[in-house]
Amino acid sequence: MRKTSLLFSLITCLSFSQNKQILYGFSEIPQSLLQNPGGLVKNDWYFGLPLLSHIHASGGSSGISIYDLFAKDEQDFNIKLQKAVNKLKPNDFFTLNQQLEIFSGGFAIGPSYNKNKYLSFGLYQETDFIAYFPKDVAILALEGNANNINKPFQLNHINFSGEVLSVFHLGYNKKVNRNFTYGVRGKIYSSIVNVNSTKNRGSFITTNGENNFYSHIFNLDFELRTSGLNSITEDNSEFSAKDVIKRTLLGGNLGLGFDVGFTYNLTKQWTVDASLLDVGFVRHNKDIKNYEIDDVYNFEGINPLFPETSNGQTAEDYWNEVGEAFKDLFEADSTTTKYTTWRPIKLNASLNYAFGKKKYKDCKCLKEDSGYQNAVGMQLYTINRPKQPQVALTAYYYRRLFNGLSAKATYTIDSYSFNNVGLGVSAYLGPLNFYVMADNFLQYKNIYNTQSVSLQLGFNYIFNKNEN
Amino acid sequence: MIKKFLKHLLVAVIFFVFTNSCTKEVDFNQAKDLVLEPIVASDLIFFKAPAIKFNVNGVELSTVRDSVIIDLFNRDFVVENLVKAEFVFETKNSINRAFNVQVDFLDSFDALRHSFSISTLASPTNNDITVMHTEVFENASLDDLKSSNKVVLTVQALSSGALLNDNTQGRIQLKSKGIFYLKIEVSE
Repeated sequence: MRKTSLLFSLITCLSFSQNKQILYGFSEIPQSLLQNPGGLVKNDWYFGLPLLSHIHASGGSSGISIYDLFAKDEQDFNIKLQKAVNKLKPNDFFTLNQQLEIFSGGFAIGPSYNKNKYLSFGLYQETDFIAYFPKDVAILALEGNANNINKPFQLNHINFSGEVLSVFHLGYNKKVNRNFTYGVRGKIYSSIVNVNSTKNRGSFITTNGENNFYSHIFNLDFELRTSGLNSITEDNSEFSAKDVIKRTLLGGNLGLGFDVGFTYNLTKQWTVDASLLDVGFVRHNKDIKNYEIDDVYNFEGINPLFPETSNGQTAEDYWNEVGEAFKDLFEADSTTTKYTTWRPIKLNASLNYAFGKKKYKDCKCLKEDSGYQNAVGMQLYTINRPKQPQVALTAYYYRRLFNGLSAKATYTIDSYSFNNVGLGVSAYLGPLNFYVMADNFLQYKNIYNTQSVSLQLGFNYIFNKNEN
Repeated sequence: MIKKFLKHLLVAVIFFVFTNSCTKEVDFNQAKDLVLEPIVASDLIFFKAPAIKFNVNGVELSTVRDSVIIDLFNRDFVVENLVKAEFVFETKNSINRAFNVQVDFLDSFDALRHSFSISTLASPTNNDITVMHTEVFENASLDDLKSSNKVVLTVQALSSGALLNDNTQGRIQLKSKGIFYLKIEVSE
């Protein structure tokens, strides 16, 4: 019983987000080095077709699907919304992640008889957004406080963060020997826009009062931090596309980070690998506007006739004071305090088993050095998020179909879906490499009913070792 | 050759699957139907006065009155979204004197728009006499509430009971709350 509940609690905190479970370990595709800088390299050099080498988009909602809420049926929208609010928990979230590689490339270095080092580099733009479901705020808006006496409305239910940034990166990969490869990648972040509100505390509660029917207790500690946003939203903003380009090219709020990873062959067929990505920060010191509310106030109504004042205050003054108190309570102070954000760290790890060598047609002997045709394995993915890390477990089957064409099918368990099947292919047409991958295939009958989708595709020009 | 054909076919099929996922009909315009109907409870006015408060320098103060400017009910948000309000008043009197509490609502021209009062009997034994009163604002009276920006509260010691002096026992207290029924139509 305990084991079951442990398993259940593990599963409920599992989730997707910017998991690229199909791309991870897919070493025919150069962009897999961004998932593990210590992954295997199978080409001598490559360059990505500018703006087309890696297009990634994923979105998810852990509690409900678009179809749950917006299905064209006879149900009243407000009833559906009420149901959704009841069903969703404060730890349910909505995520959005998008990446666009602007350019990328890589080449092997070292003596010509043993080019065992590989340098890769590039620039990509990323958008990342997560918002937790502000359940108490939704309940307060839908029901009010009258039927929720003694229920605290928690302010920490408001929790979201979002950023748009560009990432310059340079990676180094070294095949130390037949069995061990490692890699590191340095990153410079240039933040274009950042918003976050993740450390809110306090509550609003209506309890039975002493001097009056109720006691309304406001204990609010709220902070919203923004950088790069004020220049866009302010009156007479002169923000233009030029500024986006400037901020992309290191003109934004800057930060530093790194990725590390390795691959290790346990035996000829068994391999382990792991990577840690985006260990880094962004320092926000330009174009900052923060909003803060930090107040404690207990309201029991007003006492105009016999105000408890000692300094001969009139009732009018007294009322003004109450009015001021309320104004203070909800009016946010704005500041320009610099701040630092940490990038969401990701951890990947996998255990792989390769099998099935290619045979010659006319004899039963194996082809020399052609490698294994199949692989199966388990992958673990974790990303650090404001409230708690999100985890996904993937089982996969990889197969080389023809020369230059390989495919990978994945099955992923995440928060609310146990049937996330993904599929990806990498194809070579001469030196041109094309890849496309997506998950949640079983839900494609009605894409709105899926709680998450992830899609990656891209084109590269690759000079392969194998074809040498 | 066949292999090559198969290879291209497979890529084409997979690409087709990727680009032709199906959808069932959804209607995002439903969001316009969103109506929020929260019921908000809030304390209003209160006081607690021992009998001696009605005696200033040996002279009985039989009427205590004050007005409060409340620019809440006439605000656009309230005018547009408040569909009903209930004001609940409770008096507890343990003074051996009858009281009347009158609540008047005045508009910005000081014209009386609405009025109600609560009377409580004298309490010869100094035990609490509790009176509850609920004033419901709907339709015409709700419009009167929405055009008010001033509330005048008058507490009057009535003639029945004993004179109030420094030795008078007991106190009178008032509690009040408002229950506001809102209907916020987002599309408007």
